Amino acid sequence: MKTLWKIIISHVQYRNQILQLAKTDLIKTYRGALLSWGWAILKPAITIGVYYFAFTVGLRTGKPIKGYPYFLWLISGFIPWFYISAMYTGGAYSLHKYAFLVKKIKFPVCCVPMIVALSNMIVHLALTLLMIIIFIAMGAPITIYLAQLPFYWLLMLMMGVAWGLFSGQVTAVSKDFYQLVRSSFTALMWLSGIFYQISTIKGTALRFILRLNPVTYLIDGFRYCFIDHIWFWEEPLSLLRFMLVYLLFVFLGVKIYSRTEKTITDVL
Amino acid sequence: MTEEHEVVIQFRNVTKTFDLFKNDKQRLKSLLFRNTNARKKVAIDNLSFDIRQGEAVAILGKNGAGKSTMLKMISGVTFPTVGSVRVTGRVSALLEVSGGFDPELSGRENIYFRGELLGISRDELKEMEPDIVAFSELGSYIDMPIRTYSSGMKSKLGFSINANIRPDIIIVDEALSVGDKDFRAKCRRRITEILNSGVTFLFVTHSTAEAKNFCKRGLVIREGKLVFDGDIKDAAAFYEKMHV
Repeated sequence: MKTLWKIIISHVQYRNQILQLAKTDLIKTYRGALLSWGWAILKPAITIGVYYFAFTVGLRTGKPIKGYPYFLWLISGFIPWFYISAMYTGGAYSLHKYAFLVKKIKFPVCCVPMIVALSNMIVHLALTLLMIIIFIAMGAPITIYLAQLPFYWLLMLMMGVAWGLFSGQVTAVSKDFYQLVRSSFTALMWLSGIFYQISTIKGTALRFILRLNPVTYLIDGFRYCFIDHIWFWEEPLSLLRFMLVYLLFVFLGVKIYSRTEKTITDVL
Repeated sequence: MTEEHEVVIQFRNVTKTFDLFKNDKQRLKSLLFRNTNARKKVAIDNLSFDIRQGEAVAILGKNGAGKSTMLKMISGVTFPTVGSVRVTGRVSALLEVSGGFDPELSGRENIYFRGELLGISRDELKEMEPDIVAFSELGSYIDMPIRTYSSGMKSKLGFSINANIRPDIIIVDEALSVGDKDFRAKCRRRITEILNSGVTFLFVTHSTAEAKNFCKRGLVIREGKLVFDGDIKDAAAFYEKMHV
């Protein structure tokens, strides 16, 4: 508990530096390339294009869902996934990425995941905006349900930070763990209901297990906003499950941090 | 009696031990369980001292005596296992001056990057920027990414930043070996200037001659213990004798 409090205080104390670092992190990622900022859009566009092609032309599935073209249904799951996937590997690598910093300049290690989470969030917000434009351009109705997007953004950020704190520290001491994260990346993508609806899967037990995955919850949430038109409070059980997983990561991250706080900079 | 200045660096019974694990598996285990089958290496052993504002102190010790660990604790990048370290004011550390840069950013951006991390406002940095750039002698390289710099250039920039951000405490770790002869001379002049402005100064070196040049007080560290604390002349003599 004391450690958790300390972590929160550090974030408040270093808020300006964290924001500055997030900005720098973002600029660094895209600068230097000829298309620079274009890549922030182009890269996801290519990925979505490939999957769209595979499903509609190759597999010839991809029928409209709930009256929305499959393409729109697909991107409403893909856009949050880009953020989540960036945090999945990026969070695990965050402490290493900023080792040069925390080893030389006084900066609390516990604030590093927040830097990565914020910089990815900025890209995500831009992509979401673009997605809304695409919806409008394709004549799909935009509804009041979009008003709950900030709620999901907050959950994504919180989960990203908690995961980053936990996984970053484990990565710091175990290369195996990082390899595990990287190699499970594709599995996570296919199990999180980006390409198919979990609700149409046969077998209650299987559905239950798949829905324990917090990634599924976030992706479903985006679809609630764009496609299904459901408020988040209409699914309190799913939210509860998500929060339990979130608290588990917070607990683990904080517990480990209470052990390593004084030594982590020596290990990185 | 002379007026006593405020204590800006205080070490109280500071001990720092490093856990040496046999392998990553053991280290991983230590995250969740309090296992203690790691070997311990004591880097700093029950160290206590005070440094007051405006003092110029040399820290003498052989390689591996624990000097760097001590400086890292002062600059806040590592923490004591036992005991307490209290530091008041903005610390500007020249520990491996070339470190702490973001290699993808240009030299100029790194000035802001580092400055803001130290809690200096953007306006203040704008004011300092010309001095830092001029001092570093990097010319148009200042707008190139740091990854294209030679080690000499990095050190020059590092020194320029740390010497020009008006710190309260400045730590120099063998940094006078930075760059060529002319630049070294310039660094010396700058340090003397800083010293005259009443900044607290810590100087880590093997060279007792250099130490005597800048400092009035000397601490001698051996195997993590403070073995001498006093006038720089006596400290230098003690340190020289230790070698024989």
